[in-house]
Amino acid sequence: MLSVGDRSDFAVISKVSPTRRAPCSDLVVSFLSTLSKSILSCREAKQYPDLVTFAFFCRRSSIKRIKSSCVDANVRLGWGVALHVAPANVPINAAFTLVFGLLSGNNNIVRLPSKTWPQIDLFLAIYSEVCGQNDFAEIGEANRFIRTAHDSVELLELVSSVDALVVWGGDATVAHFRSMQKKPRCVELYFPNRTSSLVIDAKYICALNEAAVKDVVNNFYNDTYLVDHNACSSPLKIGWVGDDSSISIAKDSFFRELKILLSNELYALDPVARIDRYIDVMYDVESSCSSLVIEQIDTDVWLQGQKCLTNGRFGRFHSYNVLAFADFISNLGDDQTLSHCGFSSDELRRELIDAGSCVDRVVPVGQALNIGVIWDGVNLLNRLSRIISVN
Amino acid sequence: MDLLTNLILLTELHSRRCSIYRNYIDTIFPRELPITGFADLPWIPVRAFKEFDLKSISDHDVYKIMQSSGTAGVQSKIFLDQETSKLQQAKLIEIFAEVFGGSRYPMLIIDSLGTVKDRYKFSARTAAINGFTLFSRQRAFVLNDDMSIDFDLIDEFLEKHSGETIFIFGFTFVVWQHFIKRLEDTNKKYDMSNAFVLHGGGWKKLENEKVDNDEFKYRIHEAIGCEKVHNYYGMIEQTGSIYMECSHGNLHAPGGAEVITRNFEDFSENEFERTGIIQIFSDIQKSYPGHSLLTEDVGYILPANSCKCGSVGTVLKVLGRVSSAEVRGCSDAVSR
Repeated sequence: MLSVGDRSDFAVISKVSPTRRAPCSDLVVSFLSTLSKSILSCREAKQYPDLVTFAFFCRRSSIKRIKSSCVDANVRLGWGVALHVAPANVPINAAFTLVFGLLSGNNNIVRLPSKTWPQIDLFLAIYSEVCGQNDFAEIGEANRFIRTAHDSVELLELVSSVDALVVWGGDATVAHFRSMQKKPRCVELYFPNRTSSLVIDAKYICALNEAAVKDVVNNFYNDTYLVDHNACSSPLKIGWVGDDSSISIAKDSFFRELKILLSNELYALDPVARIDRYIDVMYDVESSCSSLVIEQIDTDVWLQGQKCLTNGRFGRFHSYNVLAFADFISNLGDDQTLSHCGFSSDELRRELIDAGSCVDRVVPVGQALNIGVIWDGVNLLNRLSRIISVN
Repeated sequence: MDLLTNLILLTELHSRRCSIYRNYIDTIFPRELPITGFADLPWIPVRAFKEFDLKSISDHDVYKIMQSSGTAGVQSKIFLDQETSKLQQAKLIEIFAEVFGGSRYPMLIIDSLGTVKDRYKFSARTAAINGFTLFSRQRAFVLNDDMSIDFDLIDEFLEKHSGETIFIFGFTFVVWQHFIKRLEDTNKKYDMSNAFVLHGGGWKKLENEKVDNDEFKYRIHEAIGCEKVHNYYGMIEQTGSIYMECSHGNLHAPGGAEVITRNFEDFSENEFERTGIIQIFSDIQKSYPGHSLLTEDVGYILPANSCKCGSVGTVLKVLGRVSSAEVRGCSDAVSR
């Protein structure tokens, strides 16, 4: 881990060589498999579900599946050196973006946000340990984690020297990096702010027994409250599909279980965040120049009938009732992820395609945060590597 | 009319005149139940004044805009018309006179002239200093612009006003950091036994010093021989309606004001003695909707008669600030 402040540190980074590998090379696959085992055997790691999820992602069997999604993997090579700007909202994505870079055959420099998280510190420790093994010294040499000031000369130089740039950020970060000088052939990938939705089939919920509703609610919690709805793929809008009476029954049982879950001591929201929610509403009434209808179902469950102009957070959702999924599509706007409960992903995708929707991803509730090699409609493995063609 | 009725009328007044306020309270407090207690009154977070221009008067009637620097550099903007400005002054005079009598005093300000002079640094400190200057006959700033003590000035001032009651005013942490501790460091002592000290602005900056009100008073007494030391609690968003420390060491709600606390979880009203978020009410805010504010301060209340001083105002114990949220920021790697 280097903090690029002085020139000597920067010299180390500059030495990251553009060795290009084929996607999912044997070395990388066995490195990731070892990394996965090290994480899963670490007692401390078990308390971080995101780190555990990451470890499962890195297992040999999982990588094999991923490789099959890469078109013509056998005639591809990475671009060279890829610089990744990790996001500040979802800690574990720093690790994922490194893996995407490795799998596509690049050497990588991952810039971490200034904010630290325990699971990332732990990840970095395990990562360094695995890199210390003889077999993987090459990987350790060619891949680095750094922290820099956002407008340091060193960072600008770095950006101008890499072959690929991957920016996970808010819109401001994206705009900042887009405006920087790069190599003419630099491949750039940006992941700006997005919003997401959840669609629930009311009749489906009505037919579930209590335990099954609990499962659904638990999944919903993991997609939203667990991360303060801060992931781009956390649903902020909820579409209830069905006739009025089924929706009413479904909402009752759904929110009854959610209240129980939120009263669990594991969930805590700072009073300041709760006050923020009132300020957010004030922004919304200011922008809309009218009052809004907010159903205050529970302390931290607010359903707003009108569009949330400020992003929903801290338990505030925009909630709609619609008769059929088709009626909800126009409300999706340019959402990234559509989570669903009681539908089939394939069928929803079919309807989205037919409607010409902007949505990039359809997943069952509970999987909204599971990042994959295909993100924002792009297969990162394909974008971060190139095909050597023959006629 | 009683205070609750006045506050209900103010809610109606601001609803008519301030559209953001109206739309906000219609959204958050849509209930049609009658208001039977202070806790039923609609409120806004005090931070709203940092984010929005909230006023219930036409631009033409704006007499003064008070601004305070906030923690993140964002300023509260408080719009005053002549009426509200006068009411603030009258309220302050009323509260001050109750404790210190109705006259004007030679005033020593534990701050630098630079604090009030620099218009760009206009702050709660400036506002407070200027506000309390109302009770001065002649004022002098004890600190130089580099916050060192101007000893000559003090000597001169004491000589000139020997035998008179002197009013010493300053922000709590400034009095502590730049006056008491400096005097202690330089082994300098004064006889200001005929003075009284008024200080406010909060204890947050003194957290690491482990100094409470008693210790503060003791050290002032040791340094300048003054026994009459009063703290107050107040904020620019409710200028005038300050909570003054009585002779028994308790902060009391002033006339035309009330205080409750809400619990941290669901914001429902707390009973006496239970720690929560402080909400303050005051009936002099006619030009902006600041009559019912949820602060970001933590404390608890006690009934007025729990204090032997005889004041009828609810006792407020301020414990600190609401813990700042470790909010996972909106995915901006740029923010440092």
